This record gives sequence, C-alpha cells and structure tokens, in this order.
Amino acid sequence: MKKEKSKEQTFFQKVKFVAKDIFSPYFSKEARTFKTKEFEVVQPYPMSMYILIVLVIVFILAIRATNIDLIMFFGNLDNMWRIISRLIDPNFAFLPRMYDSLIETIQLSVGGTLIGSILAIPAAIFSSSNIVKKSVIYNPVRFIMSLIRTIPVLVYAAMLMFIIGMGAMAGLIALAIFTFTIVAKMLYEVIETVNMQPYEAIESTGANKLQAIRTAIVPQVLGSYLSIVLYNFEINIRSAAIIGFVGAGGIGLLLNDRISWRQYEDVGMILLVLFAVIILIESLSRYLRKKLT
Amino acid sequence: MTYNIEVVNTYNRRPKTLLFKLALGAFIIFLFFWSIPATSGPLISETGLDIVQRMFQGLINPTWDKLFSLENYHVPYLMYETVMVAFLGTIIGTLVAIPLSFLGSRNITNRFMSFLISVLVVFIRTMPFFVIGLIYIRVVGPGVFAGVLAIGFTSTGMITKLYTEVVEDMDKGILEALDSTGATPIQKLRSGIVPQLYANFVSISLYRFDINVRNAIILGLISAGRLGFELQAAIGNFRYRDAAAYLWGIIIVVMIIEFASANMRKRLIYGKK
Repeated sequence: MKKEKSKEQTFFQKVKFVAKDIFSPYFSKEARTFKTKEFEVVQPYPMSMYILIVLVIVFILAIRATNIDLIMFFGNLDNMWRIISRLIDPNFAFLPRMYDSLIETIQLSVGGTLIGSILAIPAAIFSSSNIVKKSVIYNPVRFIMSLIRTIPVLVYAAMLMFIIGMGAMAGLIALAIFTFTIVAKMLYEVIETVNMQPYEAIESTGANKLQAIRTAIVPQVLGSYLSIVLYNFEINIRSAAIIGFVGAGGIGLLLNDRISWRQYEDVGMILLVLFAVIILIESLSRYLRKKLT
Repeated sequence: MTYNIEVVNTYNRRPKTLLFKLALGAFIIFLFFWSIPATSGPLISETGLDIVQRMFQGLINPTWDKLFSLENYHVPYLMYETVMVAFLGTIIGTLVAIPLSFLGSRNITNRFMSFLISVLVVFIRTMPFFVIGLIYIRVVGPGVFAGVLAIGFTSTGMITKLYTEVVEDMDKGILEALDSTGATPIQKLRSGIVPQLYANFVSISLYRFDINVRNAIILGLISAGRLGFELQAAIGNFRYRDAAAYLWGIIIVVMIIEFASANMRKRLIYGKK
C-alpha cells in the first residue's frame, strides 16, 4: 500500500518536472541561463509555443472557412468503401478500349515537352545574366516568365478550351506553355553557373554571340538541358493524364466519362494501366538522367 | 598556311559523332511528327482570337471592385479560402505521414514493412488527384470539404516519402546517449528526436503547402474548390473582366505563398541571417 503511494507520487513528480522543463523558459530568464564558474549562456527566447498558438488559431479559422462536416463524412464513409472495393476489382475487358486514349496521352506529353523545351532555349538565354549583361533585358524577361509560371497547367487547359475548342490541341498547348516556363527557369539557372572563359576566348577571336554560345555554352549545358527536359517529361505525363478532365484530350477524358457513369471497375483498370505506364516512364527517365549527369 | 602538326592530329582524332547526332535528330523529328497528329483539328476556333484579345484587355483592366472588395465570394475571400483548404490538407497529410514515415523507414522497422509502405506511397503518388477529388465528391458532395480531403490524401504520399528519407538519416547515437543519462521516454522524444527532425519536417510540409495551394485552385475545375470554378464559370459566361480578376487572384496568391514558403524554408535550414 505504502509502496503504491510512493510510486504515484514519483509519477506526479515526473510530470511536474517535465512540465517545468518545457514551460519555464517562457516565463523566467533564469531558466534559460546556463551558468558555470567561467561563463554563462543565455538561450534565445523560444518561439515554438507562439507558433503553435498561431497554428491552432489558423486551424480553427480554416475549419470555419471550409465548413467541415465530419459527421456527414463518417456517415457517408460506407459509400467510399463501396467505391474503393469496386476500384480494386479492375475490369480487364476494358483494356482494348483505352488503348487509343493512352497513346494520345503519351503523344500529348511528348509533343508538349518537345515544343515547350525547344521554345525555352531562347527565353533562357535572354534571362541569364552572364550572356545578356543588361539587367534591363533579363529582369523583365524573368518577371514575365515567373508570372506565366504561377498559373497551373490545368487552368491554362481550361482557358484554352474556350479559345481553341474541345480536343487535344488545347492540352498540347497548355502543356507546352507550362514546360516552356519551367525549362526556361531551370535552364537559365544552369547557364549562369557555366565557366565563361571559353565564351570570352571565342568572342575575342571575332565570333559573334550566336557562334560563341554554340561552341562555348552549348557543350557545357547540353547534358543538364536533356536531363531537365526528361524531368519535365515525367511531370507532363502526370499532367497529361488529368488534363482530359477539363476536356483537353488524353486519358482523362475517358476517366471522367467512366467516373460520371459510375463504372468504377473500368476506372480501376485505367488507374492500374496508368500506374504501370507512369512507373515505366519514370524509371526510364531516371535511368537516362543518371547516365547524363 | 601551316598548322602545328599536334593540333592537326588532335583535330583529326576528334570524336566522330555525326551519325549519332543525325540519329538523335531523326528521332526527335520522328517524335515530333508522331505526337502532332493526335492534335488534328483547327488551331483556333472562330471566336478564339476575340477571346484572347478580350482576356488581355481584361488582364490590364479587370473588374476592380471584384478584385479588392472584401465581400464573400469575391477574390480576396476566395484567395483566403484557397489558402485555408491547402493549409488543412497539408495538416491532414502531415499528421498521417508522421506515423507512416516512422513505419516505413528501414532503420526502425523491418524490410517488409518499409517495402509495404513504399508501395503504398508510390500508389498514392501515381493516382491522378482529380480521380481522388471526384471520389470524395461522391462521398461528401461538391464543395470545399471534398477538396480538403482530396488534398490531404494526395499530400500524404509525397510527405511520407520525404519524411522517410529524413527519419532514415536520423542519428540513433543521441538516443543511446540520452538513455545513459536516465532520460524518460518523453524527455528522449523532446530532446533526442524532435530537435533532429523538426526543421526538415516543417520544411517539407511548407514545400508541400506551396504545391497544395496550386492543387486547391485546380480542384475548383471539378467543383471541389471555388477559385478555379469561378474562373471557369466566368470565361464560360463571357465575363472576361471577371475572369481576369480571378486570374490575378491566382497569380497573387501563388506568388505570395511561393515566396513565403521559400523564405521560411531557407530560414529553417540555414538559420537566421
């Protein structure tokens, strides 16, 4: 009996000790000071508690802004289980019907990547500060590029739907715009780190800028450029898969159709094939990128 | 004209890559022509040019009272809502990812468990997030709540993957040292594990938050969010100046969040300047 009581007390003491250890630095300066005979160190004021309070306030605001209804969510959870159980039972008879859309998806991402990354080369040259030495030129170019980059690729696709009309063309152009900005940004960052001495040497022989870039800059950045393009191709295959949801071609069109008809077995099949294709392309691209760098 | 014989010899021994270059060029041209026929169709619709012109006019002169008024369902409110959706989604993703990442890191659990978790992560990451959004719409109805759930689900994959890498780099020697001083489990957690992980964890979550803001906008296109939805509706109803206002909203919110997230991450990793 006596033993138990003492045990309880020690547990309470432990909790008190830990609580004091955590909270005291907020209130007293002594708790943050470590003294020895020679010197004393004062810890900087800990901010984590206040960050936590701010996070909690934002959390409450967020819950109010998004009108979360957990009761409804858990009430409808069996609905979700029904969908998932149909998703993981793919309908293999659907395989031949999705072949065309799958090819179109890959074509979209290949075409978008190609067009975007070729157009990105001049933009990258104009926004790198070691080739164009005037900040009047490269700063506005960079600013416009980052302005274009903020808009997500699917928003571009949704807007181009109205400009170009339904079909894969809108998706291709949306992907090309997006690839263009990202490749240009990554490429100019690479160009700015190259060794400029060959460039100056070639310029001093009387070559013009274009020749100097071709012989001095291109060999230095070609590997990185191809690796950037492959990386963008990886991103684009994911975007191309969902770009059809807004009507811009590819397998998303089929996926949207199957979901709205509630044919979840077909959806499961599409997801399975998409999974395989994305993994295949990603591992191929990773392998090539490792070889390039 | 005479050249140094060394130079001439070296020049003659240069790698002969003409064939490779030709093959690569042919391959690229082939890819180009293979991918273009998929997009057969008119390059621009009859009203397309008109819409482009009106959009650009709108971007210069958007509906100003929509862009700045603080009423509900005007641009600042929608921006706020988008950020809140992304925030909640990131919180959900982080909370789910913490246990998963500890389960999935090879220095804590066995090989089989970590393999299982990595397969799960790859599966979540390859799942198109519109599909997840539409499934959640079927469950909770269209609206922002479905967007929160979809973003939470999709962020779990990437956050778990990156957290696992951090946990695998964790130094376990510190825990042994704390053990030898007789520290309690709570103290070990507080002074052994949290200080090692939290900077990287927070930085990863901030990075994902940046991505989630864009995803929250995109989810509007399937009516699981409002900023994207309003933009689509405005263009569809030929209200180009309103559409431009929403577009400016998207640009501003993405730029602010990108800038803030990048700065905070820099400060977390490199400390105060």
